[in-house]
Amino acid sequence: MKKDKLSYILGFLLISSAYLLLSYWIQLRGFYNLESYFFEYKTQVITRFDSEFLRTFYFTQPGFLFIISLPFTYLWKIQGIYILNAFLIGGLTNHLFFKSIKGNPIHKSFLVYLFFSPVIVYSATSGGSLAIYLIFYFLYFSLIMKYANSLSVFHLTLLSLLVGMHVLMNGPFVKLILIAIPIFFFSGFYKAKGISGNFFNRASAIFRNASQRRKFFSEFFASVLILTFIPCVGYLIFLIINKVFAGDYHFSERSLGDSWQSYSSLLHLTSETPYIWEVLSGSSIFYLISIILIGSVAVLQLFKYDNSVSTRIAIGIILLFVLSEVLTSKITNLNLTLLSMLTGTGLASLYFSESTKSSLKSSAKFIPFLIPFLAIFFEYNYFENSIVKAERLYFDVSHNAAKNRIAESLNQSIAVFNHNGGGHVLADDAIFYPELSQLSSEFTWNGHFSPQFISALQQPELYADYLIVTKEAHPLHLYDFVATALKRLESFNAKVDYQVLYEDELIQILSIKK
Amino acid sequence: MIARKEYFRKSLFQEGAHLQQSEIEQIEKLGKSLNKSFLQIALNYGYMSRRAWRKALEKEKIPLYNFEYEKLVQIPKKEIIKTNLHAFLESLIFPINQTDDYLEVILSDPSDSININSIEELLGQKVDKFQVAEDLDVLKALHVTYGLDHLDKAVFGIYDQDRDSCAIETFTRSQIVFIGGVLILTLLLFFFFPIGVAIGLNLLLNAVLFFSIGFKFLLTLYGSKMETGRKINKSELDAVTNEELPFYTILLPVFKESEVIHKLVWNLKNLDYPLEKLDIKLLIESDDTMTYNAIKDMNFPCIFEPVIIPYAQPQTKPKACNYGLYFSKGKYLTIYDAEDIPDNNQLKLVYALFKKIPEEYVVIQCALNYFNKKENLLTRLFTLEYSYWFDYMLPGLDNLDVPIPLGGTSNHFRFDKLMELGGWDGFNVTEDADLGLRAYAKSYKVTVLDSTTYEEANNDFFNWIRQRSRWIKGYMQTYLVHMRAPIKLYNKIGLKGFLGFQFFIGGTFFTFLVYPILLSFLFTVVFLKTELIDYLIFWNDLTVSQDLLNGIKIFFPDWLLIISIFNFSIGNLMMIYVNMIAVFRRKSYSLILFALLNPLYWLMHSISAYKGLIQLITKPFYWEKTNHGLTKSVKNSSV
Repeated sequence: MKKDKLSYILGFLLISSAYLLLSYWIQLRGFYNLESYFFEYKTQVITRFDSEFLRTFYFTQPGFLFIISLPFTYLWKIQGIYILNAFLIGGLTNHLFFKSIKGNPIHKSFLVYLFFSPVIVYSATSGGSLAIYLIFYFLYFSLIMKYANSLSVFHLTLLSLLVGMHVLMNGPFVKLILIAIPIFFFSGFYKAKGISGNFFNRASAIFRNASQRRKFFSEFFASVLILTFIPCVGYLIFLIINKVFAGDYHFSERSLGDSWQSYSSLLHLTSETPYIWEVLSGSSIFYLISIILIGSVAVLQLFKYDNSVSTRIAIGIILLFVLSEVLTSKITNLNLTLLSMLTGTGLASLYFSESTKSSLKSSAKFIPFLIPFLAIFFEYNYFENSIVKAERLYFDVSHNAAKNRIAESLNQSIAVFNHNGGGHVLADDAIFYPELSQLSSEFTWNGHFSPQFISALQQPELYADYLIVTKEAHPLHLYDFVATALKRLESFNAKVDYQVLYEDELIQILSIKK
Repeated sequence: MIARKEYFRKSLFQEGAHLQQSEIEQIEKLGKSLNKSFLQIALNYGYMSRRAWRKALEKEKIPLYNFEYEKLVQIPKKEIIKTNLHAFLESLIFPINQTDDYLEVILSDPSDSININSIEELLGQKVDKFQVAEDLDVLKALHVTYGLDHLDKAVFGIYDQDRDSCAIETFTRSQIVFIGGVLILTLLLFFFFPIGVAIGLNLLLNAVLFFSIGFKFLLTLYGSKMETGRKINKSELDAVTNEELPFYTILLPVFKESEVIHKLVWNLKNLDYPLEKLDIKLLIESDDTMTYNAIKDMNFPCIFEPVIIPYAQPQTKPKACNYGLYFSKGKYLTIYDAEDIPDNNQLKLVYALFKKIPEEYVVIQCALNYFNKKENLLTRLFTLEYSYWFDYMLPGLDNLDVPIPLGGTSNHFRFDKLMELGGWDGFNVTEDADLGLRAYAKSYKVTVLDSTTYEEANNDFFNWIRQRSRWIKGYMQTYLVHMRAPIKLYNKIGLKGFLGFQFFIGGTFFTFLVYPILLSFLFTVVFLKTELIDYLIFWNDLTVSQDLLNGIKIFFPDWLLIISIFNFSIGNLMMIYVNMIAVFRRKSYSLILFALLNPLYWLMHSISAYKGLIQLITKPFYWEKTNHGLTKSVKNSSV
């Protein structure tokens, strides 16, 4: 027993370390992730300015990830979120590794997938929020499948707690409950005592008998109530606290600085090939390719011979859910943050669904063993053709070390600031959070969180020593508050006296003469 | 007065009490195997009612002797009776007058010459005269005259054995010094650092509330993991044969329970256990004339043996049970309340489980629930509470291997181990919780079994408050007793047990005491925040509420208020949720929405907690009697 525990812990540390080293290596080759800078920036805001924790928490998406990554920020020099991701996915891989080696031959064959799946490796090493989403999806669907099997209130409570946390991460994710409700409904037919037979026999027996019918529906509604209670009341508590302290202000508001892509969701999309526009255009069905490629691990589970009917129904519902979400907004949803739901489903159904007796002919029994290899192949193709900038960059730098103009611009500007010494910076922090997050403690700044931000835009010389502005080539130039304010001041002939400290094709750093 | 007139079994039992010949043969056979008198078997094993027996005596024109219990004295050969009290109780013979050449006895069955002979043999002289009295009167006379040694042990057994474990002393001197010291230190600190101390205390109260409720939530969650598990499956139960079953003692302590006595008999008859292997003792207080007369006048056969407990303070259930122990002969022993309806196979399940688990397990606690759950709002909330407590929380404690505070009834003991533990503490009003901890401290273990005993939920508010104040007072007593030497306790039960004890026993009454304080404070602040007071009381736009808030803010800054609201809301949410979960095991889904009223139920607990606290100081051993038999509901199986 002790030996098992020791090897479990050692395995966890080993895999997590490997992921951490890989993320370091991939960054050395030119990979960067704006999301990790965003979390680092928020940490700076809390520690360097007189800004309440709760306020920062409200205006950081996903807030839950921000809280749990905070301790790791102070742990090492690497950005905290990379360490957190390595540990999270390290834990998941390690757990499934031990389940695989104790499982049946199909589970063993999935060892290949666990270590070489591009989605798993990317989520562990890319420094974004994907890792925590993947973990949540995996847990959520595992619990749904376990509940469909056990019909136990234990799994129901865990599900409710998990959805509660989902809501903390991303409010609209409360929709995930919709996936669970039909599964609860259908699995409820298997709970009735003394009724046997196939699904239709059970359903007809239950609906024909008044007592059974009443029991069935009261149990179903009680289950739904238990599932929805924690997220709903959690949200209610949030509103109460908010109402007491902020009146009508906080809960319905969104700040420009609360997400790493709050100005434009187009920023993180790759625009180098016309392929992206084919994918995004309304009449095109190209987007389905991405779903199929990432969904392969889940879709192929439909063909695994020993999966139960409830598992197949669950997979079908989840596929429909993903499809409808992507159709709602291809720009914001056609990425791994949502599509990893399919990876989570696939893993959950593989390890935690109820098994039935084999119905495959012996000659076709080799098919399940092909699933991990096919899934890796499809996912590899997804990365190669991804329309998301970070995902494509990850793929590119893993093949060839690359130089990226945004990354280069970032490094140069930090060097300029450090060379010129401390001061007060005026910048649109919804764009320049990567630069601001890297400044030494000698610097302070006004951003969207600051009450003086509007005043500073009107009279920069009173409030700032340095300005950071975008140039026209920058994709977010039209959103840049500071650049726009500067132009407006110039058009009113209220010219700000400044000196250009650094300039490249995307940004300018200006020093105000006093 | 009768001078050794001859009586015959046939005329008394067959013609007088209308027993069949076959029944008489069965009674004789059973009497031989159990070594009991004919009348004991006839009356206590379901053959004949006490009323029928009285009528039979009256029919034979036998005058019944009336004892004057206050005037009863011990005979010169008292030591023989004390040493052989069991024999006299079985024979139903009370020697009332004895000199060297004269012996007069009061007996219950004048036709049982074998019995009379055995007593003559014991006392070493012939019975010169006898009179006849009802069996209960003879039993009472024997107990109140010769049971005083057992009574002394029943009351002071724990005190004599281990003074530190007895609740006779509520607060020890060191505890008084410690509590007083902490209070004085807090006041002093408050004088010099009022804001810091006020904030610190508030944080401390919030933290304790959060951890106590959080612990219960986690326990429930952990317990729900085993929701569908069965400790004894059907095949294991089927493998148990009647021949291998041991004697099983059931103690039934009753006090003023005349209303439910007839239900009790019915419920006991439903038990699936060979009657001849049951040793059921009905424990009646000698001054409880109500129950005493009800049993005397019963017009249907009983299957229990009355034990009359001589009067002594404290008049508590543990004292009664301790007294009953000296007359028990089962290998296993359990306690039921008068209104209890145990699952009919419960005793067999317990036996099978005892056989399966190691010897270190000395107690098995069965689940308790209510048969009148839908009677009113109170019974619904009470049922929810019992459901999460026994169906989820105790299994959670069991699986974590943390001390389990035993429930009031349906706890099944290995008899020898119970005697080794010294029985119950007669001065503790939740003697069962205390015993669970003492067992754990002696490296014994307690486990739970998924078999249910249905009880009557309290359906009256004031009756509920009385009952609950006793329970909470008992938890306070138990906490104080075991915290007399915290380091010793820690060494005995380890870190896990110690923390479990702090949160489960200490945390339970502490949260009830703290709850209304935090609630009223929060309501005040939130109410002031709404500024309604300005309009409702002052009828204008005065900023009274803001001024008041500014004053409060000094001691209660916004960040602390956020923590308090969050903590309080989460605490209530967790307890509501735990109550909601509770309906699943028993599929009582109609109760689920009543869980939302749990905060009100907690306020009722708080009222009881303060009542209990006051009683702990003023009358610590006072047993707040819970009235049973108030329900109009019945469980299907009991009618």
